[in-house]
Amino acid sequence: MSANPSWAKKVNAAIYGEPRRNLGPPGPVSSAVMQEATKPDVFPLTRGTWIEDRMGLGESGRRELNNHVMAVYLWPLTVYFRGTRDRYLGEPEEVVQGFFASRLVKKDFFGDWKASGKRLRHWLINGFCFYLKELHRDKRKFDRGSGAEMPEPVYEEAQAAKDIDGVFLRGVVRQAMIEAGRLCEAQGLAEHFKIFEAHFYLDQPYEQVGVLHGVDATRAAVMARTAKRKFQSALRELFMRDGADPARVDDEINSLLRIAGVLAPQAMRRTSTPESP
Amino acid sequence: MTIPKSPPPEGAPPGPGSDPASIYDNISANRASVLLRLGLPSPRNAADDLVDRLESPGGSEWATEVMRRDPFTSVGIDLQSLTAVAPLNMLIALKDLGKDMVKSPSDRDGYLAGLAGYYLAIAAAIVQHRQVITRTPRQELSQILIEIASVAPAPWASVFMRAAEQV
Repeated sequence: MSANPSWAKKVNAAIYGEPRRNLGPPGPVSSAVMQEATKPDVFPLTRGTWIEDRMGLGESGRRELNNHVMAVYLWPLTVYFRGTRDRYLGEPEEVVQGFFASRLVKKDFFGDWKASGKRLRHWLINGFCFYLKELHRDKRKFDRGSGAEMPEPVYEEAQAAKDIDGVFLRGVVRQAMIEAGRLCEAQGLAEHFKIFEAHFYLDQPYEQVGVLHGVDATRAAVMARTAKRKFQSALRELFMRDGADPARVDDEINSLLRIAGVLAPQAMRRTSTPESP
Repeated sequence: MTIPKSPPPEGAPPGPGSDPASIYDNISANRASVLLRLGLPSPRNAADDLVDRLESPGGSEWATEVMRRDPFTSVGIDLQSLTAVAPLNMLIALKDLGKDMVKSPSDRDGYLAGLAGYYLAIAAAIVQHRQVITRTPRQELSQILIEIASVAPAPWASVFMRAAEQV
């Protein structure tokens, strides 16, 4: 995991030591909604790898888990929140950080998630939507009626899950780019990553990128290939940290591509023999 | 993290003082889908097994050690001749023997040594003789050579790199 950014430190401080505002118990939720909220996903993941290992490591493992959630989900939840009509509740990033501070402090947070059978992002968006309701009620109660004229946040779970899937697709790729960039820099491959980024993210041909970096197109492709492998590893590891069984990462990627409306190509495996000369 | 007031176009460089990661804040669903596909295993060929071995721990030492066994010893080719000049017929013999070892491997080590001989022979023939001694389409061969060059230790990397440039 990469170094903690300042916002993660702040949230960690809230979770692990400094006094925090008690947001109180969740508001009343109908049993039908709760039943729906705890229903397993259609394609439940096999759990038991990265996350479960950390769950058994005590506080240090928990800190890693919280950092993972904050690093990967701050951006998607912020983007999701920006798309709602509930902006009056606060600055998007602060609202999401408040959600993390409120939920990640709970001892049973990951145990409850595991019991839910849901994908982590669906568990989080569910909790986030409830958190928005809590914020609304708190605002009305404590902030002298601020926001009283606004309707309580509403959400429909299936739609929220669908919305967060789309944002998560972008978020996980964004995070993999960030992590691959940091990894390449730490390993003295910053230029390799720049070329990879220019070609795969900015659509620049190797001939053009090579000129900027003083190498020919072939050398640029070789350098990009090195960084591409780091990106692939970072991407797949993010899925594994998120609860996907290593053997099912391809299924998860294909699932997201289907959600995005992109037809995923079938992975073909040719025979492991050189072509006939 | 800096949240831009008005979103710049996708991939626009971050402004002064902003988080370098913000270049990705405006990533589109289409771009993300393209990059997400990179996470899926691509069509695999035999060279991937060689790439995996070279990239695994001890790959560099293995690349030195493997040249002290068949198919290299049977043909009489060593590292020096691969990086200088080896007769074309010897390179073809190395490639053919390597291919036989891949098709009928005695064990995993023999299979990987056969792959090393096969692809080194092809790369050296291109570099030293400007001859492509395989029927693999050039575009595909170029990609394979690039793949191997990206993980191979020196002086293998140089041979594969130059071959990729010339094929």
